Amino acid sequence: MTLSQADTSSLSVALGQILRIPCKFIKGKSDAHPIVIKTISQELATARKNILPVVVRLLGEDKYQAILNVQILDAARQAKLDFVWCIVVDQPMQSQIEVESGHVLRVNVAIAPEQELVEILQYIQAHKVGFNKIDPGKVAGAIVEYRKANKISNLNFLTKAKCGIGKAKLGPLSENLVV
Amino acid sequence: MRSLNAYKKLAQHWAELPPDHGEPDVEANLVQPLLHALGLNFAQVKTCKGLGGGFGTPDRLVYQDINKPPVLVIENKRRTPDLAAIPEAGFAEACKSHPLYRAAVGYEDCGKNNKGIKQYLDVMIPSHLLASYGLVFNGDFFQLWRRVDGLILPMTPIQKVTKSSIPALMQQLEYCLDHPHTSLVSAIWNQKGGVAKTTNIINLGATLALKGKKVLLIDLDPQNDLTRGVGADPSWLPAYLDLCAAKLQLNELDDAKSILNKAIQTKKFPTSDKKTYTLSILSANTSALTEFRESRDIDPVQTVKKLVGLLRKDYDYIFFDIAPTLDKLTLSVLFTCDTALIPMDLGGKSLHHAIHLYGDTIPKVRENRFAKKERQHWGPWNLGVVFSNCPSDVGTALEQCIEQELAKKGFTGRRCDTRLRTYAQTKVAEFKHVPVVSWQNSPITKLYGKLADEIFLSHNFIDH
Repeated sequence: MTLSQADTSSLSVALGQILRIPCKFIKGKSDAHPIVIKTISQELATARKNILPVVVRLLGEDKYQAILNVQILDAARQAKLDFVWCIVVDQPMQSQIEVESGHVLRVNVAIAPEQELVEILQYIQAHKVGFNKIDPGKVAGAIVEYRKANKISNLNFLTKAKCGIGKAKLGPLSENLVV
Repeated sequence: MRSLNAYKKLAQHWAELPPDHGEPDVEANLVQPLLHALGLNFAQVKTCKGLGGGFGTPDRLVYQDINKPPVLVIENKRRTPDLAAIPEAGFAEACKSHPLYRAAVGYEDCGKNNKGIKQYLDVMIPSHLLASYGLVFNGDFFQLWRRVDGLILPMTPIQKVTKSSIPALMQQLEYCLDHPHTSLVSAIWNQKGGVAKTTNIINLGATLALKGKKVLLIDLDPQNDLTRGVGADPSWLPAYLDLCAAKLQLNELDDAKSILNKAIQTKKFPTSDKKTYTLSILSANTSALTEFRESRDIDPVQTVKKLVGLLRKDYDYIFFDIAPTLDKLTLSVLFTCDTALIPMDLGGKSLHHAIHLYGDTIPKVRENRFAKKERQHWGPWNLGVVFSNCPSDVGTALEQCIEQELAKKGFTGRRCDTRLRTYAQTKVAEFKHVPVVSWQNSPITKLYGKLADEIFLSHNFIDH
């Protein structure tokens, strides 16, 4: 081991590696059903160590925010464990994790093929509140038609395309349809 | 007083001072408010009190308890626009060669009559006037120095005073006032094995204990030679390291301290002239140390630093024994200790490693600790290289080889005057599991006494 190898590994919080962190240093509470927490808690009470790590962001010295797998943190607390095993991430890693875990779906409306637009709109129709009555084919068609003659800078044009998208839907839609 | 608000007000006040303030103005407009913000009253600060014996007259002596020796001695200088204009990044380096800073520290190149911290912390000063810490300050540079018996060493880096740095600087002063005595933490180490590291730790520790000092020896070498060398048990409380690391990670410091207290063994030794002395030993056996070193759940550096932090108030001297390899345990100690003494024999290999450690590894560790924003007990500082295991008949040919090699490598560091020679009595002591200095008439005992005096007990100023 050289000095330069050792200093970074031994003094800073290592991003992306599994670390043992005291539960009391981590903020965050999951919205998982209590029976889910209880089941995990019973498992952890025996195993004493979680295999699936809690993903946390470093807020300051001995301060973390749980951002993923928060139910494991809740369960560890319920099992009265002092520690939980975590992966510490920064902002870019958090964004990547959100995509990897399927929490974030993004399609670029300026360049995506029509079929891809239909698929994402079908997903939105199935998963987002208030979108069950949209016609994915019609909305995708409106996007394709608009971008033939215009450069898309935002989604406002959809409110005038008579495709079932009003102003109230633009906010939730822009989480998945990006420019 | 002693509130963040008071420190912020002081910072605001500092920002309004001109960059060419003369020394009396710095004292009246900055030092006095600074001491006031620390909650010190009139009686606790003595101005321009002569130390006698040609040691000079410092600007301030600061007392925590007026019936005890001062905690802090202050040497102030005037502000100067050229220093004030240097950006924080290159400030410490530029300061080192600046005449005002050098005069405040008391370097010889500032003239015979100049007195600074180096003289004001001299152990020959009467004890009722002898402080534990020294501050050099001009309103732009700020550095604390520390005295442990005769040894004077930097306590913090040279820091630039800025509006935003003042609260942190005030906290450093608070620490000094609240901790008038903390132990000196030292590693005695060379990457070459067989140079009497462990023997030197045991016997320097024992020599200091014989002088009435409270000494703790921490054995982090999986071979446990130190523990066995003083007749202690490596498996006294084998789980302490793991338990303590968990408590330290949880910041449950009282619990961690209680575990440490149980894990520390004390050994009382008689001497040949009917005296006794006591050594404390903190040891972990091979498997506990291996587990600690390899654990993915524990950060050894943070653990060792926190562990030492809990013990600093209890001892005068803490010595670490570590394996010759540069592994995680060794690095933890280098990232924790205040000073390092490098033993070497009269061979080429140990000399090669000693020079590298002195001139490269130790400064690099120190820079790294600075980069990690470590400010208090910043180190490690070189105590020097000490020739150990020396035969009685070295001969001029070998002496010449050593001198030539040192010259070739450009080594200008400190070489201890005392050379530790090999004596059969050292081996006898090993078999009996006691420090050899228990034999008071042995020549090696006298050499260890001389070395302890040279490094720790007599006036010894180190800064590299």
